Amino acid sequence: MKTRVTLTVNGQVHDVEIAPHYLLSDVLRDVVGLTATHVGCEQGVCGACTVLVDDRPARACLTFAIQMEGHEITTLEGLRDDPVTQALQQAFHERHALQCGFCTPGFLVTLSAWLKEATDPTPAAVRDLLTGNLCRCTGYQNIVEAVLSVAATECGR
Amino acid sequence: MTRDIPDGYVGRPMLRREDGRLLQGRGRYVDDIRMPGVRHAAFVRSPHAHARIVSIDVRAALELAGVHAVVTGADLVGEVADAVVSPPIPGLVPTRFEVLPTRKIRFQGDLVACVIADDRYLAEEAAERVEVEYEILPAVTDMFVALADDAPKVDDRLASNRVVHRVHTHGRPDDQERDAAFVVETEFHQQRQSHVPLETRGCIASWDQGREHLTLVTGSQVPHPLRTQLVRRMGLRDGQVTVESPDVGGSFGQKIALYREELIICALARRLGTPIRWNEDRLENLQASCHAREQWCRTRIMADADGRILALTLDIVEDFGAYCFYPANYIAEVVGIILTGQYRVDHYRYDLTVALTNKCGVGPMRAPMAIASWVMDGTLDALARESGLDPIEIRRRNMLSAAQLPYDMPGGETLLDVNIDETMEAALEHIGHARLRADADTLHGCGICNVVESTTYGSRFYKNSGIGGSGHEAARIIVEPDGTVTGSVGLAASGHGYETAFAQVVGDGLGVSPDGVAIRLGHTDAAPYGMGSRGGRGGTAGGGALYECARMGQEHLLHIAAHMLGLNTARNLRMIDGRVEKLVDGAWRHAGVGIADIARLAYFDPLALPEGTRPGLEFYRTFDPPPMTFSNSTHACRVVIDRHTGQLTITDYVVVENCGAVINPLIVRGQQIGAVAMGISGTVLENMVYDAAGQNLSSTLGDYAIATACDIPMIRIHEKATPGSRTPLGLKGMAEGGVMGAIGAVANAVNDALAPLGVRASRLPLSPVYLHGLIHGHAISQH
Amino acid sequence: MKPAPFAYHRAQSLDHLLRLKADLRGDGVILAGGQSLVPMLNLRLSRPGNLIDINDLVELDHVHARDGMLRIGAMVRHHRIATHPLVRRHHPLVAGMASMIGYHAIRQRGTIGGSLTLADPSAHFPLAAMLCDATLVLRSTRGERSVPYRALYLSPLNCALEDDEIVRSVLFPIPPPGCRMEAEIFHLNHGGFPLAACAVALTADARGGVATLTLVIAAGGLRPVVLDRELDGFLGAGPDAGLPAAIAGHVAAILPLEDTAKAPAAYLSAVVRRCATLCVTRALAPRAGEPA
Repeated sequence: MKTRVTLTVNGQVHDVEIAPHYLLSDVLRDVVGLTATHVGCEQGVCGACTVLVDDRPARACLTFAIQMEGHEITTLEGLRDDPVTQALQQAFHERHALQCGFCTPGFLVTLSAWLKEATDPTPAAVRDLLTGNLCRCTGYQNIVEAVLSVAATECGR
Repeated sequence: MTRDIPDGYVGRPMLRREDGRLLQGRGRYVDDIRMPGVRHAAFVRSPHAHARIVSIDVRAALELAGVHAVVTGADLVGEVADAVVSPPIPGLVPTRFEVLPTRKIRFQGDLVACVIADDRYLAEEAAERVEVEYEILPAVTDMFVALADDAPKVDDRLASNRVVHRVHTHGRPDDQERDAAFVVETEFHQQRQSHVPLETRGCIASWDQGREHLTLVTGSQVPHPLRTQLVRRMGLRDGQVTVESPDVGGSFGQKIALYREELIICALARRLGTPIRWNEDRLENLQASCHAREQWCRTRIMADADGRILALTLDIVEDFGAYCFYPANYIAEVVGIILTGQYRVDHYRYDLTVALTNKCGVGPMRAPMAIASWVMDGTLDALARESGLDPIEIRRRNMLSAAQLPYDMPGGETLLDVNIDETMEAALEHIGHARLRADADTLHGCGICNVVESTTYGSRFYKNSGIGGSGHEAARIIVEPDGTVTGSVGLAASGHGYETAFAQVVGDGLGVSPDGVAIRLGHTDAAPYGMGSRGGRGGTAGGGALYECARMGQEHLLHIAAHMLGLNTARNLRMIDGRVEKLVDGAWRHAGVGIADIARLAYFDPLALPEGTRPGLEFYRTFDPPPMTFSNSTHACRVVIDRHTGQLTITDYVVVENCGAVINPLIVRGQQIGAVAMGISGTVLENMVYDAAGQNLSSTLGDYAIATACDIPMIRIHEKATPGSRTPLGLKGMAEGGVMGAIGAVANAVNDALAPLGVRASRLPLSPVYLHGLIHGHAISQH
Repeated sequence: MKPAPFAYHRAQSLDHLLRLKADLRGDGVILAGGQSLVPMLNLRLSRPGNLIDINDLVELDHVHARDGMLRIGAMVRHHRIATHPLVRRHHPLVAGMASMIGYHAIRQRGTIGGSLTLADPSAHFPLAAMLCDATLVLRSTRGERSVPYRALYLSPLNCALEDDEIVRSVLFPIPPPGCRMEAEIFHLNHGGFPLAACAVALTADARGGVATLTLVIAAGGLRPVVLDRELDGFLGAGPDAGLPAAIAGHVAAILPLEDTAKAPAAYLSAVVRRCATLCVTRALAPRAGEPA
């Protein structure tokens, strides 16, 4: 049943032995060993498992790992040196935009990609974007403020 | 360098030290922890709401390669004791249930068997192959139907589905009716909800056969009480079990009980001799982790011509689901106790009834007593409508003034340290007095809700209410040999920011910089036995215990320092940021000795210690809070309702809060906003729906909607704080009142908007469908 | 919630895909964006024996505008449609609909071919395709055929593709100048599935009245209803303030709505009326740069 698949995650090549029905979220966490990608619903709703596939946000729980051969996967671990992500992390820290932290990686990954192409990140646009990421702790207010503070300096660069 | 007034760390908005790891994705949640040789569990769950188990055939499941065991209820009889809930409370029916049902299942999602396999994919595949024959029984899913004499019995051992009936009376409420100018009855119906932590439940259990020791890693709010339950059910001794709660992705009350799943995993780890993990998936979480809040209330208020309350009665009926994981009176009881808030009520009665149904069992959810503020202020609004009096004026006329506190509430507790008279006036100023008029497209409303939040419950509360258990908390502080500090307390964090806030508390109490204070929590071997995180007790009970422990520590350190400095008293010494300072000529001066010097002596040169002082620097202190501490607030909001679609928009939201002294305002503000958001979410969106046959129709996040970033307005929070008079540092606690206030403020605002139409919303959620029905006179039953 | 095992096939070319489809027939389920299919697999509500992954097929990834047609490949993702200059210029309604589907991350993966063949009764693209009378270009080893989407869509979740057929492209007729298209989607909660939706295509006459009018309604889990000749009575009507509500009222009255688990018929009808009123109002509103 299992087959060998070559995955490129955060620029590193991993040869993994997996079954076709293994979800990317599980393979990243259990086989590749990167646990920043969290699993919150496996229904595509909560957004905690959001990763980048070829630099675009995607739900790892709605993707089979075997599909990813030939594609570049980026997880939060791979955005360590990304300036937009770093700015987001600092803003989240300063504005108390996380509590339990479980949803946070999904927010950061989604936002890091979005801020690079957002032209007019108004509060309404940020909130609309974030409907795809659920947070049960913060009430979103501090998250929105953190994003807007980063947008003020990062957008249009 | 002198400082006359030391700047405390308590009260500063220090940035959270937890954030560093969480923002990098380096948190350590249960599912992030790897254990060699671990096997995975999946549960076979009932597709029916109520059925007898006729037979279970596990052969096809066991045939799959990589499947190690399939266990049914019969296999665990004698190995795990039943759950017994039977505190000696008048009116409460004792209940018990098995760890894994052997004869009958009671709700859709109930446990039938457990599969252990090499991985979760395989375990689910095997679970699907377990063949169960059921004899389907009639299900009862409505609590009022469940209370009828001829209703199907959820628990065959009991005489009926009524597991609680209790009445508390203060004064003579019925006698007041003859003097009443107004008698108004009002109903309030709160829907079933669930906690939906972003991280579901899960655990890893491992049994060390050589040491005969069980380790359970699980996200828990209450590691020690969980251990107590675990050892009782498994026939072990306290010292044979370690419970470790690592980073937890939200809990909100869902991670308190010892659930059957975790217990089964522990039993199978012991039986099979291999570590076993179980990760609850979202379907399981929404179907079978505890639910909450399904309550119906009816008040009857009697008032004189000026709107002064003569008497108030409350009837509550609560749906407790299929199993009692808690004493079934405990949630509704607190509503009855605190209902009257800061209003003067001389004659009062509450009457509680709790029913079992064929639905998931319930438990406390952030503000278990959440409905109370809506019920009280909603009742006053109803009185205003009936009498034609101004609803704010009615609140003012019945408000207890500062001079009338402490006040013996008719529910039995003593109210003090609250100032709703001030928070309400401030909230009215902030929300503004504009009256927007309805037009052809929209209705406008403004709602006010006053909240008295019971935050911390001391042992006296538990004793008085007959619930049993303790309300104390325990702290341990170690000054390590290098002069750094490790503090621990019997709480467990799930986003609370304890590691930051408690370092501030220890910093002030001991006289050190928080940077040198490590806080260790959530581990039964690392922390002293405490009662865990629930309600609003963390800051007050946990922070209070740590502060008093730290003060005791500082006294000891200064005693040694005095000896080192050749002084015969420590009276003129203090410690700031780990340095001993001495009062000389009215000014504090560095005395040349620091905490590291003291620690070196205490650990490595004990003969140099003062006469009679023992080596080492460990301090242990417990703190039992007052029976009940209170915070208070007033919530005010404005809403707009679209007449065409019933859609509700909250256009402004204000809170004026008094939660006493604050350890870390950044964290407190975050908790307050989060609580309001959860309250709004529950008021307008969330709904755990069962059909008449007992099928759960809300078992995905697509069907059970929680608030998104577009559903929560900007929340403006203002302070009008007064310190608590009976707690260390003046702490009171918070983080649940926001839920209470949001329900009341939004519902009262909606009813203000609906008032011109002569209709009133009495049920939650305030969905567009429901509001549209009210507006257009074709009210639709939600069931 | 883990999917049941399946055999995985990655289509290397269009020909390869067609051969796989011809061999596997109904048991070879196409995996496009997966944003609707994979949740069903995870919930084990669907357990196909074979999945055919078409995500890497460049032959299905194209956007052209020629001969009065906007041609969009089946694998073009929602986000690309929403932001593609050709789509935005020639068919703003289609771009706008694409921008409103699900969430940002869902739009990065979901595809128009997947959405149209899934035929969810409340989805955005089926509504747009119905309104515009779009045509699907279907391929199999037996050849190619073009079928109007209105004819392919038999019932919710049921499109009349043959077992061996796949969607190659979608052809949207480019609306003639003067034709206004508007859509209104109603959600009970943000980010949830639409409860009801309405799309309208309207050409105004010289007076600003109605020259042509087509309306599509999705509500109550019904097959989206195309209203065309049913609205003939409104042709020639002047641009008076009550016209949108009159059209909406007529529309709501003729829809066979029934109670659903989410909402009773009376509510669905009210929402349809509201959506239709808003759409028609916008379609009739004078716009800057156009003669009044």
